[in-house]
Amino acid sequence: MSETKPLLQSPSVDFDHRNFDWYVDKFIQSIVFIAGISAIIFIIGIFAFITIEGFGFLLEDFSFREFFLSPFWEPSDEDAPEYGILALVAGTASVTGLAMIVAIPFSLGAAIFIGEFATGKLRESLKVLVELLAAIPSVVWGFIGLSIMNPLIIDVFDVPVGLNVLNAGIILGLMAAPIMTSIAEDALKAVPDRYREAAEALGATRWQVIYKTVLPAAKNGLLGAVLLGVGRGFGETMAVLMATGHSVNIPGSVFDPVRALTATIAAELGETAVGSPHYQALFTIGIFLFIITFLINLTADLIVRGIRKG
Amino acid sequence: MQAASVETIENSIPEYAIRTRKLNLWYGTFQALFDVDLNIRNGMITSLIGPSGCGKSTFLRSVNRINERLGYVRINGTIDVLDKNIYDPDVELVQVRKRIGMVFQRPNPLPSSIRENILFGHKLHAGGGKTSKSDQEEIVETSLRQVLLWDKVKDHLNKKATALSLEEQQKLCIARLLPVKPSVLLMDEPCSALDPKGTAAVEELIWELRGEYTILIVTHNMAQARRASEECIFMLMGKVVEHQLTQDLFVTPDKKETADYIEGRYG
Repeated sequence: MSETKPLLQSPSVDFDHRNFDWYVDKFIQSIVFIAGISAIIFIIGIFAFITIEGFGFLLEDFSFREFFLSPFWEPSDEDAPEYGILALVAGTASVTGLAMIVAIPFSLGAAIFIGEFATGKLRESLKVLVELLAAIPSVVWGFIGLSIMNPLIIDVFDVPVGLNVLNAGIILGLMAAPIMTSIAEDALKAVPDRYREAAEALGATRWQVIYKTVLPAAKNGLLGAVLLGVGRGFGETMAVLMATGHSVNIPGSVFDPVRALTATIAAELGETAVGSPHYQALFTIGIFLFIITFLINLTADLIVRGIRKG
Repeated sequence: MQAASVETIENSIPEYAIRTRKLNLWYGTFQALFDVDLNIRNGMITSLIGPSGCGKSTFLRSVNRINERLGYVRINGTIDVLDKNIYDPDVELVQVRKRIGMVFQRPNPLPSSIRENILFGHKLHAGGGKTSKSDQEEIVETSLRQVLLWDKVKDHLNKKATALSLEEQQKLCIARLLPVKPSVLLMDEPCSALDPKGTAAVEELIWELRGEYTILIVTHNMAQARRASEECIFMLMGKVVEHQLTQDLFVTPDKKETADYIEGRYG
């Protein structure tokens, strides 16, 4: 009794005392805050940088008509350089389109198998494997395109060159498939199990449960997965540079070589004079790519978030 | 001669809809049911009561074999539904589920329209054949009328089923079983997610369906078992303790465990 009394009586507790932990806490909080907003700062910074670098071209030499509608990308023509990206857009779009035709069945099938059929160890190891596939460097894929797919296409289809839309499309499709599988599997997993149970209790077979209940319920997430794949396709550089044949061309068939937007920047930027119209035109392509991939990813993200909320 | 005629009568309307013999069930190595022998009368409402973990839901979920979804369930013994052991190797799961409908604890309408929910089972079992629009409309109307939901939803059949109130969702979940024409309805605590008003409404509906279907209902709520069932089974630790007419079980239980449970000494 007598021992507790002083505590109860003690009149002057220093409630404003700040100990060492208080300062540590404040310090860590500000570090975490800075780290948190740094991503936003970097994105804005990068966008500002490429905009500034490309700005001169946008103000002076840029013609909307020529830039978007001319199929001629001839920046090194000394008399009349042309900066038309139509062929490059066609190159990127055709390769990405073909890549999606390859990737969608693969990734959807893999996601359905991993998410709905595989169990236990098989499922876990498949998931790890998919993550590993997603981590293969793109230059390795480009290498495969160059040294395996190229002779294979020449052999099988009896065409003179194997570096073309077909080659790059298949390579890009295989590259995009793992990440699409991963996202699609998340979308399937987000479908509440009680839907499956309800359908099964009504007498649906495994496949009926999947295509009548699970896939419709997951359709937004699956669309998000495809869009992320498209975003990947637009942004991919190295593999596309190596497998497309890199010649400016509006493709008439899958056996035509093309050139992608990204690959153009990668291949030419090192050889242009800083500040020249050519240099600035490449940055303008950068702005264009940035906006496109940003919009695709944003849309995909919004769609995927939409299903999470309900 | 006489025995034969009795048998033919029994064949046309079996006395028992569900009969189990020496039913044992394991989840992995954990045994959840021990030698369950039950005869559940055709066309009656039978309730299953008992404390949590007594195996009543497990039993219910083995009658339409839905607990095989878990993958680590092992069963021996037999469950005869309308005189056919549903664990025979020649039995097709789809046919089992067609004859035995199930209502879950949490209402689980599919995330499509009210109409699509009602027609889901019907379409599954219609085979390749298409049902005409007017037939479909009739199925939807009859089923919804039977669960006393038609007047409420008839003007928005294309509305999402998940937007209905829980009570309406649960009624819809019962309604969508009916077009498939099941003989047995299994209900796993169908009212536990509902408020008292919804509970009363769903109980009333279940009572209405009596006679047309054999209904087996698991409930935590002893008062509900008492109100809404004709026979009652009390289970404890995976075993059947007592199976009686509901009125008798609650008034003059045979076993001490039953008496203790219904008086609330445990559980």
